Amino acid sequence: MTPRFPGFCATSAHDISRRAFLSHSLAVGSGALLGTAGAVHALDEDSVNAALRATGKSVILLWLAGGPSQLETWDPKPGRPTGGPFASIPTSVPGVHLGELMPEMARRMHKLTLIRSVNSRDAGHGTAAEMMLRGRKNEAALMYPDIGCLIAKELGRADSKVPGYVSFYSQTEGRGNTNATPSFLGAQYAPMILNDGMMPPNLSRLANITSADHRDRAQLRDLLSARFADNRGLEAVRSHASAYARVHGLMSSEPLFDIAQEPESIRQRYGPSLFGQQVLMARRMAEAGVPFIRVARAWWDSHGQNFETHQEMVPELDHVMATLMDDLEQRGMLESTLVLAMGEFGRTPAINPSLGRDHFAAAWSVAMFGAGLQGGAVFGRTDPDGQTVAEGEVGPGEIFATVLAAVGIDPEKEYLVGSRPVPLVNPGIKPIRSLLA
Amino acid sequence: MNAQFPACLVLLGAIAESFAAGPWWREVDRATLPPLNQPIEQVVDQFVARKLDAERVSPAPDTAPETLIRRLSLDLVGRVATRAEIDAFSRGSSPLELRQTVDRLIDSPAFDRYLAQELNWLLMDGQSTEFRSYLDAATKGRKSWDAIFADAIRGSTAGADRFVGSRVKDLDKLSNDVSVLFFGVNVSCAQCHDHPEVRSWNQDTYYGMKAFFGRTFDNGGFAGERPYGEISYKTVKGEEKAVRAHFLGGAPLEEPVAREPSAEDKKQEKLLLDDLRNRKLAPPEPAYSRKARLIEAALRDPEGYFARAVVNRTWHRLFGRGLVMPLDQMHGANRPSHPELLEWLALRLQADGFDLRGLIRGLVLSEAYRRDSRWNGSLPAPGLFAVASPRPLNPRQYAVSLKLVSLDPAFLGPEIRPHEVAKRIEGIEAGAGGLAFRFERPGDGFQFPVDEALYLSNSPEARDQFLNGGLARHLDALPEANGRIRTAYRAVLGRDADPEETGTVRQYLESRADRPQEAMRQVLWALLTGSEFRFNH
Repeated sequence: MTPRFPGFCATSAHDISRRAFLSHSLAVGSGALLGTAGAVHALDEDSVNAALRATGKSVILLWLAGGPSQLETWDPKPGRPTGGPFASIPTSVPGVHLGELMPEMARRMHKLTLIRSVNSRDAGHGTAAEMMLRGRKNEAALMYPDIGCLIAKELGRADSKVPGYVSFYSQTEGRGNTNATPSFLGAQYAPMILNDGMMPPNLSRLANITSADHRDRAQLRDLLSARFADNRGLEAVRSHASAYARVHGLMSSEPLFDIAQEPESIRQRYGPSLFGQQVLMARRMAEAGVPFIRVARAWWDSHGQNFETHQEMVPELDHVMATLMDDLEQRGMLESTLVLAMGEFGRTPAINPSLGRDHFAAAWSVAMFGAGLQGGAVFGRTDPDGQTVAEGEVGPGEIFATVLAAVGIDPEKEYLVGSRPVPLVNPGIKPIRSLLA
Repeated sequence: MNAQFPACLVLLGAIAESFAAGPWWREVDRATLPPLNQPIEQVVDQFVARKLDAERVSPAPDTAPETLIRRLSLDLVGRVATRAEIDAFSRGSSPLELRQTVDRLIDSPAFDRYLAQELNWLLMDGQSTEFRSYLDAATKGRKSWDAIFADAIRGSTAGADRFVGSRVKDLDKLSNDVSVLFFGVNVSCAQCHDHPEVRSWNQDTYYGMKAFFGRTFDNGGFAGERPYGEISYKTVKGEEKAVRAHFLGGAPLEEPVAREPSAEDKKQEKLLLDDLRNRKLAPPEPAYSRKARLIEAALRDPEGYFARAVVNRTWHRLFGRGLVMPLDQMHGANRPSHPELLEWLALRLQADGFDLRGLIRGLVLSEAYRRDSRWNGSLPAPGLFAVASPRPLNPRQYAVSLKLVSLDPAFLGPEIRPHEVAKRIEGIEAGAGGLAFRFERPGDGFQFPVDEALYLSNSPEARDQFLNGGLARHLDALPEANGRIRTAYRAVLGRDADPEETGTVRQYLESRADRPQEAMRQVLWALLTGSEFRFNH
């Protein structure tokens, strides 16, 4: 066997910590290269973060791009001029009805939480999508972060072996409107984007370097860089070390992205659709501790043939959501995982001459479950034709605040942006308390 | 919009309190400032030294010549220095040679290209190729900063029209961007509310700035301007208030009374605009342009926001920190670390006709710029400029530098004529755009994304370019390990490895004696991805 450089971990040495590695190399005589105040500081920081952040919660966002119709899903109005051709069906919660295209979720209504009184006041795809994902409108001088980046920051760990935010967005509709920007939180909270295929880029080791050499060269890099960091106390220098420190952890998460590792029976339960398979991936990631996963399902923008569109797409949503709910429950993850299903807006109660429904932000619905939310609760209501909110009006801010509060993040927490304190939600915006456990 | 942000009230409160005594710049006695014809670098060092003395801090020594030439090249032409440049500079770095080197870099076309790129990042987030073309011509033609500002606001020059054109759909953003980028003040916090105690900055200040753009509108992606139209806003009490254009709380603009158009005029206007939109042409500037009056107002402003803002940004770019922080809070209550110096530099820039080149030259010739970036013990206060601050390379600097050092050293070697070297480097720059796109633009408080580390660790593209390029092959051909280590350090980091580093790397190579070429590529990878190469230090 080839003699190995003692400091550059042979086989079992992979398990030793970085700190141990450094003291080891001190012992073998590269001591002068030590003095890594920055690296040690980063380690200490991480252990503090671990203690503070180990809430183990995750959020899965089912992003219904284009805007599904609330009347064909969560807030049916059968028999009214606006009701369309579909009936409503009773659910497991007496008195609560869903559209007939959602029989599976209807049977699980007692675990579902509905908000039927969203008035988000913006019916343009781009601006509405941005607003719903950031909980408010950007200001001229301040772009707010995407909810996934924010949750990645709040619930993620700097030393995590898994990404903080994974986004699946395979269809093109609305993709450009929902660039998940971390804004002032910083680029380390940007999502890992999986638009084409399930495997993230650059996660696999290239064939021309052995696993041991790959790790050893990284340690050589760290050692030489630590020397540079010595006597140069700068957060950015430490952050450079942290980014490289995450590489091997993330590479070890490669099996996470391999759907073949799920038993065939589970894959069949989610169904053969791309959306179903991606939602299964999202469950895998939540299970592995990824704080935020977004799965986008597009083509809801049914200006024409609204009813055919929904007849085709709602059953898929119904089945995949129900499967996810059961799967999370069977794995004991329902309490720690919040699932949120929404688009950028709903659709008009009025049916247009092309038998379509147009953009509508004045009275629509959002569905969520898990993370201790009140199962079976229905918050707010619309008028008999679904034209206006009759009770309990909320906007994107309240939804945002409710999600944060449900996973244990104080919505009134503030970040300092330059010299300005910026709260996570606008002042005065509160979570919907009656939906929180 | 209602009063949503109490944080702004705090800020406005602070301004109010301090404005009671007037903004800080009125306390600077201009009569005691050094004469304006004194060299910039001398004045910089005089004021920086004065503050260091007062705080009893002795600054870090000058950095090594090979580090200084690397720093100068990165800051002036956006790439690390070539081996030949380092050798030439290290042989003798007398003050005269430093001056000649700086002048050579600043007078090169590469400086113009890099300045254009930096300004495109500042003004357009690097997003507009048309604006970039305009800036390329502007920097090449040595256009002054006030002229670039005027072109951007008026938009009558091809390409320059994108500054307003790309923002015209959101006049709040346009007004605020102009205030932040050109005047160093973020007035958006005065958008929502007035404060009874604030004398100087209130809702009127915000809408007074916005009024300069109140007649500007979008016509199919081009900004047009009408010769009439007023703006008003709702006060916190809900009253509608008409507002006259005025510059950052200065005197209201005197302007001719605008005649309201008749129905027929409006019809003609619509026909004209529809036609221009169909032909994808910009509407002509009206005979009286309120937008253009902003240029005069900014350049004649007795408070001097315009000159101070660009001095502070330039200082920030070269020192990693502004004389005033943050860059968009250059109001009267936010004192700079060196008030007299900032005032003097602003006056000098004005006297020099807003020549950024001269300002940059003066700053990089200062001792303060030359300091080492290492410091023993706890760091001194950053506003002292006692030690250089390591700055992450921007995407273009990192991309061009990675490509440049991965080439066979002979490609830009001393035997190649300077003209040919410049041409080859320009070619490398032109081919680095895609790579630059993979890296994040650093800002204050920058954190590296893990994507970069993954890309450089595992992508075949990165491997082929940097680990199988000319440098790697050149190293393969060297007969002996110490020579390979020496060459790799000199090529990538521009310096020699010290004995400890040589020892460590040798050990690494020796434990891979069965695969020497792979082992050397791993060392090369460690150097290219290491922090020393990733930072301008």
